Amino acid sequence: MTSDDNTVFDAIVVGSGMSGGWAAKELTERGLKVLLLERGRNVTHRVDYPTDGKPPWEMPYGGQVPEAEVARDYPVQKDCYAFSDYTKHFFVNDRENPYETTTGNPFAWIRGYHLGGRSLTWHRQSYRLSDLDFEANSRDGHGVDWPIRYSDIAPWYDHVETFAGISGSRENLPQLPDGKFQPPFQLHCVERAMKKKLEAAFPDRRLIIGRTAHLTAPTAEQTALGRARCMNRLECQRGCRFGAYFSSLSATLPAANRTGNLTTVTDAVVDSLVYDAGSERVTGVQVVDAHTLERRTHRGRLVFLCASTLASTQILLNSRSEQFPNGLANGSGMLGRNLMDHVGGVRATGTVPGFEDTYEKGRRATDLYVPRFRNVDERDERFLRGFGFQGGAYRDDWRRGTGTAGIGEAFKEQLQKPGPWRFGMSGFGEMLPDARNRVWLDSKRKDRWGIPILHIECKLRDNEMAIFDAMASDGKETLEAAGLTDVNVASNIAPPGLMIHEMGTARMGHDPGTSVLNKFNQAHDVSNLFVTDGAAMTSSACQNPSLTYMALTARAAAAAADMLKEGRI
Amino acid sequence: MKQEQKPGLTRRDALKGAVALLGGTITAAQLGLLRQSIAAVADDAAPRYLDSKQLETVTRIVDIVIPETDTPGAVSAGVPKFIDLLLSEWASTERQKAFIAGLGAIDDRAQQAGADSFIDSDFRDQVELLRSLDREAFADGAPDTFFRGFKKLILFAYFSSKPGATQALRFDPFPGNYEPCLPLGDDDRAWFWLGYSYDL
Repeated sequence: MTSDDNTVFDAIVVGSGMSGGWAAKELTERGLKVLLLERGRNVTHRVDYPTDGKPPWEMPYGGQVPEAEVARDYPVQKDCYAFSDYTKHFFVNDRENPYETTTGNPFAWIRGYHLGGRSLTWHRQSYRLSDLDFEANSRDGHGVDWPIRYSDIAPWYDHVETFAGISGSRENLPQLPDGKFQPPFQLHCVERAMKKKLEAAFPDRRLIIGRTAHLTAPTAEQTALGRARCMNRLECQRGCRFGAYFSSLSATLPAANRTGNLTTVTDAVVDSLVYDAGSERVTGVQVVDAHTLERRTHRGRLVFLCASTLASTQILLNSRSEQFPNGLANGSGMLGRNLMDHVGGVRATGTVPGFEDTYEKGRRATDLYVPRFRNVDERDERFLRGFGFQGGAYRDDWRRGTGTAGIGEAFKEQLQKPGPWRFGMSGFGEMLPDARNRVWLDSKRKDRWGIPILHIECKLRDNEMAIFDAMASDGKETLEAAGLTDVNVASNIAPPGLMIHEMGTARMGHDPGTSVLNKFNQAHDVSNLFVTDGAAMTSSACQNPSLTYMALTARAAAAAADMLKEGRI
Repeated sequence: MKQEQKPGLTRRDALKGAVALLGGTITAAQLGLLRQSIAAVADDAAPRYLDSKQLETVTRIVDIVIPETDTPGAVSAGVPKFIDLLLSEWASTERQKAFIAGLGAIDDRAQQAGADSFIDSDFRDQVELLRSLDREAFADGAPDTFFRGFKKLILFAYFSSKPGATQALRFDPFPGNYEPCLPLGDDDRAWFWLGYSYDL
């Protein structure tokens, strides 16, 4: 596609990951002609999963990335738990994709620039927010009020869960609403015994199976898209030939493609949006070819920014005009502010006594979840908001040999057998919106595409540190109550970004003076511009946010299509 | 930084060490294992990073840490050559240097005990020296030692090899279902899994 292409698309979707895939699907299914722009390379489902199913002895270095290559190209990405020689092609090269942080405030910006984005490498945990979350800001005064409540988004959670395929159990927890679930993965009997003890000791601390975007009983719609049931390999981040976990490539983009209304262009780096002051609308998207660096403009009647929280924010900040000298749709001054992630770095582990005669088969594709129990019914004086834990039971394996004395025949034979049952879980804490946590464009440094690089300044503050401490003490208490021995808590605060739930820099709100987007993710200042990735989040809750991005995107796309048809935008 | 070539480990040297490991007597079945072991060592391809004496030393060490039993040991699983490959193509310059220095320090320990080098010392002394290094590495409050990292490398290389994962352990590429709470049963080998990523 070249610059002399005069096609005016009904909609341009920027980004093909979790949110962009949904925008493309929902808009094309409503009859809109959509141009989907992806800055990275094309990835063909199944074909471009080169490490899918490969055992380590078929990898050049057993799955390890050469150390000099890690130091040169992946100094940030390497800290993601899923980064390895199996997955490195789904992570950005840090050298080619620079950003800056303020000294003393590291931020780990974990990214994947390719068709499908991070929907290929996500951890697939899928939880609804509740009114405990949507009312949180108005209750304690941090940030601004969400312009929606649970009842606004609930039907859209239903919609995206039904299509994506979320396995889970119904639990009737007000702080974690049930959804449209496929059958849950099973708990191990070790976990069932822990659950019984824990829930007897602390009735408000529930140990439930994780809600995960894996097919356990595919619907006809999912089967028709070529998706199949999960095989419990737990090698998901390499890409799954079965399409068993939800990604743009396995689900939303095939659905969008079959409408005949989707045009996908990869290697198209969006520099900025084109704004027309006369009509007060965006008229198109300024693109740089990733390889030739040639610039061109694509035209569309509306624009969905789904490039990921920080990339969408960067594009808006770089879209400057006389009317918007500080970034497009930034009349509030809130664009780039209120950056949040989740509080992480607490891992509690312990030994489960007994059960030596039991084992398992298969690598279950989800862990367990301990939903938030603090500040639900009773007010905790130590901190605002809450946290959850994610983890599971496992028998120690050969890896325990690297931490224990022993060599020779007896040592080898010991490592061939499973060790004691263990349980480990990690905390995910809510982060408050704070305007001081923000990003801006560096005025001097540009990347290879001529785009000013992002400066990120984000800091965990008092409430986050109080949550961090509480996750450590509650983690210990929780595992001990579940009957574990030798409970150990490793507390190494994760730099913001490393939980890979960055969000909030173009927040939704009622008031155009204090927020960027309205209740339909529509820019207050520009009626045909929608931002539906994590940037829209008004608060962070403590649940994994992807399901909410999906639901917000589908909801916004339906609203935008209606507005377009009715001639309101 | 390819180093000077030296003659490789001979069949007789390997046999001498292996027989000593087995306590001087060998059965026909053990001899079969021994042959595999020797075949792997005597693989003609020249080492990529280590010199032949260093490869010999690594081979002996991994054989003592993970010996042949009723399942393949580290030598017949190809661990020495894999470690050589990792040093050549995967390891950072710092790690390469530390590895060579670490092997040198093991030779120094053997010399303090009166031998010319580790590989030239009596097999029983080799085992005893490695046991000492292992005890020191895992003593309470011990600083990080070369041997600790070396052992981690050996275990990774062995258990992620095909013989390690599929014979010493069990490997299930396509489990299909997740079946919790199964009895451990007669085959009580652990499942192999590498984890999401493995930090060496």
